[in-house]
Amino acid sequence: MTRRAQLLAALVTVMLMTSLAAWAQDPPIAASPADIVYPPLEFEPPSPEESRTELPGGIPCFVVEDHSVPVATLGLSFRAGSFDDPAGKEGLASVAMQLLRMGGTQSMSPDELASELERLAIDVGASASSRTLTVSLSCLSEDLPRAVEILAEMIRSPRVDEGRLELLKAQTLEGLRHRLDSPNQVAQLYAEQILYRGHPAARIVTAESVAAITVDDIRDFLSSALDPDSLVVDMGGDVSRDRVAELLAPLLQGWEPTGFQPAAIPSDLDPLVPGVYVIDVASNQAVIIATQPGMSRHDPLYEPEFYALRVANMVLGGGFSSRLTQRIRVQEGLAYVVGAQGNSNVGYPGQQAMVALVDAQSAARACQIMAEELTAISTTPPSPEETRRAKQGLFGTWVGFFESPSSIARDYAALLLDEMPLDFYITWYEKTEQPEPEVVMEVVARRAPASEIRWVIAGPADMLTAEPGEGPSLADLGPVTVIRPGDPTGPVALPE
Amino acid sequence: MRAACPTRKWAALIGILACLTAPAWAWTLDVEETTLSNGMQVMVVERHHVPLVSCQLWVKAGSANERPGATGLAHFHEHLMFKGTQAIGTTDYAAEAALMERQDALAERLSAEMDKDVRADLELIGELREEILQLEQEQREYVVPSHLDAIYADAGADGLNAGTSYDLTMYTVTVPANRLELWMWLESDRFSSPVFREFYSERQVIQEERKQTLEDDPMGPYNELLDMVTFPECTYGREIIGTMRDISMLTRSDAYSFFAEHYVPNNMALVLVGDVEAEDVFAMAECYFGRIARVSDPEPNRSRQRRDIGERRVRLTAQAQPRVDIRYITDTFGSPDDAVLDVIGGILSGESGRLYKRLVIDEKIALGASAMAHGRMVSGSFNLSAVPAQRDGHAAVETVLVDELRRLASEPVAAEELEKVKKQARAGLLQMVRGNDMLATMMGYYWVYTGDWRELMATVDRIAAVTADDIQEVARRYFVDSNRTVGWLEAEEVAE
Repeated sequence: MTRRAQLLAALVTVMLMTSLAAWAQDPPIAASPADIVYPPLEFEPPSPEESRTELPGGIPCFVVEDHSVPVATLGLSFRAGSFDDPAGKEGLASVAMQLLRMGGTQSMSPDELASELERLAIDVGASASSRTLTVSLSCLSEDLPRAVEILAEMIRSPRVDEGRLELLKAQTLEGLRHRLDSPNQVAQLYAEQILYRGHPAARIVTAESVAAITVDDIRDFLSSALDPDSLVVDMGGDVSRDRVAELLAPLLQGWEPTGFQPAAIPSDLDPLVPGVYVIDVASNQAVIIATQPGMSRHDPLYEPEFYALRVANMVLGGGFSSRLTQRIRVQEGLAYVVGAQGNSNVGYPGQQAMVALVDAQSAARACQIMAEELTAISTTPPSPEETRRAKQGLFGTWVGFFESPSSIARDYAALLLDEMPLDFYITWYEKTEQPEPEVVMEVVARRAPASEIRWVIAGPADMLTAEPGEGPSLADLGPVTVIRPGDPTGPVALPE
Repeated sequence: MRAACPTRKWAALIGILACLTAPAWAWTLDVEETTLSNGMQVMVVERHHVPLVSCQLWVKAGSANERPGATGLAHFHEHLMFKGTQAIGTTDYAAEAALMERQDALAERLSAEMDKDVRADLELIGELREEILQLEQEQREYVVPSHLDAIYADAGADGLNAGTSYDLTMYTVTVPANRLELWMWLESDRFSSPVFREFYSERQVIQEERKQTLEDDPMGPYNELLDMVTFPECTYGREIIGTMRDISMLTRSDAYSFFAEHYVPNNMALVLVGDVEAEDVFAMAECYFGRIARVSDPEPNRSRQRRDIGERRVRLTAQAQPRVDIRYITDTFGSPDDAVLDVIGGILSGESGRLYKRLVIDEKIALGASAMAHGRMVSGSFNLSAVPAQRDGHAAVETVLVDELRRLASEPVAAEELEKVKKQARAGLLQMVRGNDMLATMMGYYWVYTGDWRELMATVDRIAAVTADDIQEVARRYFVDSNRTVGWLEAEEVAE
């Protein structure tokens, strides 16, 4: 060590000791969190309009650049989905998209396609939701031009390999055989069936419907449903907005509209009547989904009422300090998982639900607490403190929407495809902050009353329906119907 | 009134501020790091695109560090650390302490009675349990429920959570950037003097969690058995959550002992990624976390799993998808062989990988297959798994899996296969580091296992250096019959 360094070290030591001595007498930290003074926080989310551009043919595209990591993403979303599956061929959209991913192209066999994608570490996904077909890719930005070329071939000239279709059918059938293996899966499937009875959202894939899908069905579906007229593109990461049109030329050039018309979606539901539906499965545990119709994103009162329901769900089951978690998990130790949540769908109602996974013997007690708390919040406004916390607790969630450039570009594309306002995420927190406690109460009372709950409980029916010696019984909640699941690969039979 | 927590000027005194980059790549990761005066590591990556910061605290202690008979303690901390401190979660800590002392005395009696096993007085056990829970109920008068969660919610934080693994436990939350000091306050408070209130009711919650995640999961008992048989001499053979009996016997005193031994600053690290200045983080960390006294390093896990102790087999029938698993005991995380085993996993896996091509595409005897290296602190394993296409197809699938490993030992792999895996390793890392949370997680993970975040990047370099000869040598060393455990999960017949 040089003399100068020794001197510096000694000085540093003396200063450090002085500082530590001062800290020991008068800790330089806040006495409590309330004493901390926070600097102001300013955040201007990236505007969807600024990231929007138009590709040849008038195709809308959202680009959010981020050059910090040499990875780029591309997403293509089309207005078509499983709601467009023909009757008797449920699963077509999903199988078609999977085959698009793994079925090869006119110039590449399935094996060659897989090898080329993996050689370049290009990650491609293709999937179908109820109303949207999505193809996405992620790769090193240096490989993006080649990735687009491959994607163009996959979409514009898919091979639809018969051998791969048979493999997909076998994989799908194996999945169907095990879709009722756990009480959680059973409860989710039956909650959807009971709520969306007769609606396209309740159509499910069966062994029979998968077996009926042919290569020609898939060719016809892909050639019509992948319609550039409904296409919205998103790009994110290490990609230049100025180069997007040139980059996507191999995909877009000469792509003619197909005139695909998505199926109309009924906006109303006809669920089974409120009551208790016990789905009999062999298990020590019971999975409770207290479900009822939620809101459609196109409901004229979506704003502000969905936001009021969101605040209610936070108060009821949005975190450790929420009412259901406190009573069911913390105070009574009945469950590990407890919560309340609501989702909205585009064009038809979503689900409003409370959920708990409990020991089967405690199911009635957990349901009783859920009913009490839902009734309480629909008759007495949540406290100002609960309401404020519920709203502020969503601030980080809101800013988090904008953390990933790829995700926000995709979210903007989805808004456009769903005919939602493009400032949906920009104003999301502002709208969340608005509902007052009285409004929260009034909306819950009207939109999600306890009397409308369908108590879907997957667990051992004999234990769940036994007369209790003391304490609550499921029969206290309404008429009890026991459903015994049949063949997991077949359709779901519900009581009339 | 509070004294200001010194910020930037402290950094010059207490931190060895370094902007370090990893070699050999065009892309670098800029990490600033320091070691606090008590030995705690602090790592920061500044990212300023959204005003959020992912804050993680890592502890080098997990389920593998538990002593026999007290399994589940590491995971129990994942719950207990949210119960508050002497300052958070209470209106009268002194009154609480008196009640907790009485609970603990009863719990000792309860454990002693339960230890009698078949000779235990069940009535007394029931009474003691009831009495303990009654005292916890009395304690609630002084408890502010889920206070920590509520403070974070008020601050707009998101994703408050924790996770436990074999060799580590991590605590995470994302806070708005202006709430950095709040995070410092709350975390340094709970990691210096936590209060494990509501211990016995939380024990019930964990028992419910075990039922839900392990016992009622169709795969749970199979995985538990397979782990036990794969690692009979090593603490990795136990499930992270612990055995049901051990959980039911754990006391608050056991938990405090584990905390005192492992939750020491010289065994912990802070990782922050987001909209912060590293200098501010270092200064605040010294101020807040620096007050936790350094003590001796915890006793390391001395268990090891020997290789080549003879083939072991597990066979179970359950209502689950059939599987074949083969596991070989290998070396530790970050060892020279670990990178080679990573490459072998890449060569075998994926749609263009050897297992999928042969088992699924060519021979059509499986519906899926994969392989992966799992290096850990004291022993590792190389795991292969496949889903037989036929219910009785386990033997044929097992034969091919073993044959593919023999091929690796006897024939050099093709240059293209090697290049593919090397590129995938690089791309995979870049994909993962895009998000703040994931980057923080990767850095923390590598710190736990290697003591240095740089290994995150160096691993890719080591993979890049792997040769065909290395693969043959490593395959010959590990993939021998006497070093493996084979598992068959056979599916129960379901009605179709």
